[in-house]
Amino acid sequence: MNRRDFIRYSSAAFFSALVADAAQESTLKISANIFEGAATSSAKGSVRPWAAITAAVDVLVPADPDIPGDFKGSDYGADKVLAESLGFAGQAFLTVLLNRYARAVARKKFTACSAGEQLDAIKKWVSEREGQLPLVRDMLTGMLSLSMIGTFEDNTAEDQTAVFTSMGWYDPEDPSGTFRLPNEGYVDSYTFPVMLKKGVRP
Amino acid sequence: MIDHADVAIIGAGAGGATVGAELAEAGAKVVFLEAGKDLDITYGSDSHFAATQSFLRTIDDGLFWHEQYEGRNWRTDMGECAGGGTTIYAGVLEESTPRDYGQWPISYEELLPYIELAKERYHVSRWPLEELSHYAKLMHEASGGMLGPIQAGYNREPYFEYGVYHDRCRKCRCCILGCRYNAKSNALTITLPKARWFDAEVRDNCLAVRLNTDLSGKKIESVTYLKRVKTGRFTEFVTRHTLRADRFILAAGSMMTPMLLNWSGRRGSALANSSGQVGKNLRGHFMRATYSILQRDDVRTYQGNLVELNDLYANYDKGYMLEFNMVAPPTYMGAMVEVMETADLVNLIGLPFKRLMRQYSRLVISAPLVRSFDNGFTENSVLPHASRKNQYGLPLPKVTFEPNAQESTWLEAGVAHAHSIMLAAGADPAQMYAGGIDVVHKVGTCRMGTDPANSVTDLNGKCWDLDNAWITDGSLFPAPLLANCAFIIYCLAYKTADAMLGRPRASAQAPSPALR
Repeated sequence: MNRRDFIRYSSAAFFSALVADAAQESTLKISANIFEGAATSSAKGSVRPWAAITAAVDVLVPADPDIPGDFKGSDYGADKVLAESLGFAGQAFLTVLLNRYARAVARKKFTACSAGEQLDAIKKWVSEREGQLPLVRDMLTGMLSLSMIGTFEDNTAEDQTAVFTSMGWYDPEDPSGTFRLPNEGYVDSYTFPVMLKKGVRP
Repeated sequence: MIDHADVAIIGAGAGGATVGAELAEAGAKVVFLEAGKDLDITYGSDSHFAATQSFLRTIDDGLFWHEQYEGRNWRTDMGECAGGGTTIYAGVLEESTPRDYGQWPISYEELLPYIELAKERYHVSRWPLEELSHYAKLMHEASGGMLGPIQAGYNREPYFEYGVYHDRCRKCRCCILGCRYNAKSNALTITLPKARWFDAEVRDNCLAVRLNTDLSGKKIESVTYLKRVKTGRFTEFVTRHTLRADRFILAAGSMMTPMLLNWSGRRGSALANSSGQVGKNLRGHFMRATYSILQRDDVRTYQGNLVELNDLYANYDKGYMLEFNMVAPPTYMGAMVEVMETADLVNLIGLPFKRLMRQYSRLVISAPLVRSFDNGFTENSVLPHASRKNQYGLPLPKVTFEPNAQESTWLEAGVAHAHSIMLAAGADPAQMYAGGIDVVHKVGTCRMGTDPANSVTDLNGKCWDLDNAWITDGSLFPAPLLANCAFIIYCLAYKTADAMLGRPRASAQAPSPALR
């Protein structure tokens, strides 16, 4: 482990410890979990999703067995969007929480659980969300939201169209509005020729 | 660093930006201290929009402010950024029905000149029904004509003002994320640019933590604030500064204004609190978002303004207002998971939720709003917590806010009414959902009045106990209103500006000289 990684990992552990202390969750096993995704973490500007993050996204947005070839959350990068939003420490914290609830329902860490057990773990977290600290509840809200929203964020137009078409959110026969990145693709939009900078008086 | 301004304004939101623009135009050196960050309103800029694009990023950027309640936590719609809550509001700008002012010390007629002024300055209009979405017309018909177009700040035509281009509204229903084409009228895009045009200064990421008075305690001499610079996702570098000013305007919102007065008090008593009303009488709208799925293929609820219809006070005597909303990508997922009843959400997450999302284009949402039921005074409050403190060592707000029996009854009636309209429009009776109780439009923690014994300010927002301090935000509300609060905050801010400048109303009504 090089110096940079040590600093990152120890910072994440420290942060998680602070949160755990604040949440009075004395049973959290931070040290064992915090390094779980270390092998998949990368430097150089991109945050790669940890295994537990990808697993959570896929269990929240599973492929529908009634629809042949249906996508799951990570197929369109929802796990990457969630990972980017969380950052390293955030992923560490979310992994700690997922493992905590996985152990509560199946006595093993989240990634070792079956899909059903993983979903049960998340459901248990949801059922206990009332009264949780804002940060803990934000983690849950963010994970639930971005698992679906992330499928259309930061994707190519082709991928977006594929997702939208699959979900019934895109109507090529009615282009006046669609469930696309907001404001994009509006046929009646105006285009102002001059980019106006804040504070600049033309 | 110690410097000086003619007017120091704490908070660059609905009240602060509005009054600041007027004072700056009149020649005052205005400095805003904004606790949140400034936002780039360059036309089409992603930097403004992207900052609010997803809930996690929103939280990370501090645009939503978490109140820490005793026993539970609760997200609010208060914005901590330039423009305040208006940056992320839906743009509904209603002045309510004249009947609603019965408990106010200012009548609707007295407020009317400022209502007209605010409508002009904020480009407020009521879109004709024929220009609304197919969905809106459908719900209008289903309600028997009761639901009609809202009065709002959605631009119908583009215009250019104070160096800012405001595009026409494209009905992308993403108002609550911040409009990157400045098509939504709000403090960030209308009055803050005007204030800047007249050389006002906006200091962002500056949290006011104490108002410093002279020995008499009757005059504020300076404000101490913390300049916060983020150094990482969870870390920041903080420096302490002091700004002196001749006059001070508190416009930090109904949560932070009373807290700032409390932080500035001596011996456990809040500043400007001889009435004992600072932080008291918190009120707002209780809301339960209701959802259903229309069993028809001829409607796409993602096409339209974010909020298109309300009941135009038809249910005023029943205590609630119905708003029918469009769906926006993050608001759908975010709102569903955040406000849905926990038991419902537990059953939905996973494959059922994905299948529900596949019906997104036929999702119908209503937000029944219930006004507080009180006579001007209520037990609900925002007061310093006895033991919990924030990262700067200042007491956190302890918020007491629970619906009383009357409000709960009204709320259930509103939900039932909304569901009946949805069913009339063809909603699936097997898919009727209701969220948990949420609170929006919080106001009333530094009530204005005519009697210093039971109010914090006079009817112009001037603090009774301080010679050079005014309040211009939602905390002034002396009694509940059924309408969304932002527009009335604009009106009260214009009234305060007139009073501070000592000018008659006629001059304020003159066309703005800077439309160039």
